[in-house]
Amino acid sequence: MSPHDDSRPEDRLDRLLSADLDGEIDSGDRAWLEERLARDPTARARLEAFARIDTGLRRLAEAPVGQERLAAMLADLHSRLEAETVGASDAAEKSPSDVAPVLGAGRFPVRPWASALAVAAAAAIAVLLLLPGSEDDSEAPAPSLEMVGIPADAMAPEGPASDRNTDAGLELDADLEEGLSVVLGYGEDPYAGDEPSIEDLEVIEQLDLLDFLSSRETAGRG
Amino acid sequence: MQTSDPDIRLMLAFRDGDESAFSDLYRRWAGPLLRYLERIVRERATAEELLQETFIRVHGARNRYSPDARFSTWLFRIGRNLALNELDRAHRRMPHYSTDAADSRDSSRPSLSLVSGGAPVDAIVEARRESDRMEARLAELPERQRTALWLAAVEGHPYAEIAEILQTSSKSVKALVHRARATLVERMGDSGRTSRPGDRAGRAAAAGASRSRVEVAAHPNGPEGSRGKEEG
Repeated sequence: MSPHDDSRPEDRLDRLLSADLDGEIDSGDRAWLEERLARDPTARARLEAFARIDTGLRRLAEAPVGQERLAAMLADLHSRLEAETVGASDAAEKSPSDVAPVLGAGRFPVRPWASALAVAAAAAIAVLLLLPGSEDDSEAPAPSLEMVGIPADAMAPEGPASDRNTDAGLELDADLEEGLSVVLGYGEDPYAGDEPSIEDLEVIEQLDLLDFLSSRETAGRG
Repeated sequence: MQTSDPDIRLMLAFRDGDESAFSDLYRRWAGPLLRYLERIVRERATAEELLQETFIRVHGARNRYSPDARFSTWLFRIGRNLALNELDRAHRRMPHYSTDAADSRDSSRPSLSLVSGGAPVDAIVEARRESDRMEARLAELPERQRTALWLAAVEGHPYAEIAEILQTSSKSVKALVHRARATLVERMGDSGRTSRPGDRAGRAAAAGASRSRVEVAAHPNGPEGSRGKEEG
């Protein structure tokens, strides 16, 4: 239903009564509402019920915000503004749009390793898309890495073919494997000596499983 | 936007180096903004912190301020965004939030009427209970409905300004406000659809709260309280 789908007469009445309470009703609607209120006691009762809600809301706003409290907060604000020099000014220079809420944040708790895994998956897909193409394609820059905040030069360089765990019997899987090996840096690992992460181990296990399945398939054919 | 608007004059003065204008803006708007933020985050301390942060943002953005819109629209938009970010952080810290908390708090509260000795105290207690119920029901509304209703019914913001704060259209604000009112009426157990039309208390409430021209026309004994603003 659209916001203004007055499929029920009560909906239109409610909408106009509400707008009327806020002084936001146009002349055409006002004529209709006047006529309705004049002849319909239920409509008048509805208006009164709406008005009681507004009265109740305004009572909530009557809870005093003490002037002394506000004065103390203003003094504290000035102190903070004076104390926060360069760093604070950088943060404060953010425009209102900089504090726009992050849509969806909080609805799906983000695990710390999820972004790394997502980047790895995106890069693997990108590599898969690039590999079957021409040489021009292979020299094309990896797409979307900049967009996810990973500088292109931070990616591990592609290692020599001999270092890759390829399987001639499963060409597609080999492509996938090659893409993942680029992501994981099996070749020239700039992070040599670092312990592999859990995500790395999970992907390695998947590659091992591929090897296992392919060997079983080969054995079965044999 | 006219520079006759006192808030815009103050903001422009502040932009030009008058620090006292910033303090004046704070004194004018800290109260309404704090009340609104409390409705969003439901914690006074958090609301106060968000209030301070909002004004810090205003202070920092003074050099880029342009009087394209009302100051209050800009201010409330910053405050709302900060509040929503805070709610997101709180949601991640606390995965389950029950809106029944207010109800359980109400039921666990000892009945003050047992220790009250006279009608005035009873009236105060009853008013307090009604306010607590209203606060709880208001908190159950979706945030956009809550914001739209609060800013329209309590703070008196025009729908067009609320639309800027919520980044939507005036028509959508109208729908949000009327849905919020209708929901609150139902949840407060006061639909009005079954009450007696001539109910004196209800009419008094309508008279006190309405800014309606229609209400005045329909009820000659009612007050004159219209803001005199029309749409279209």
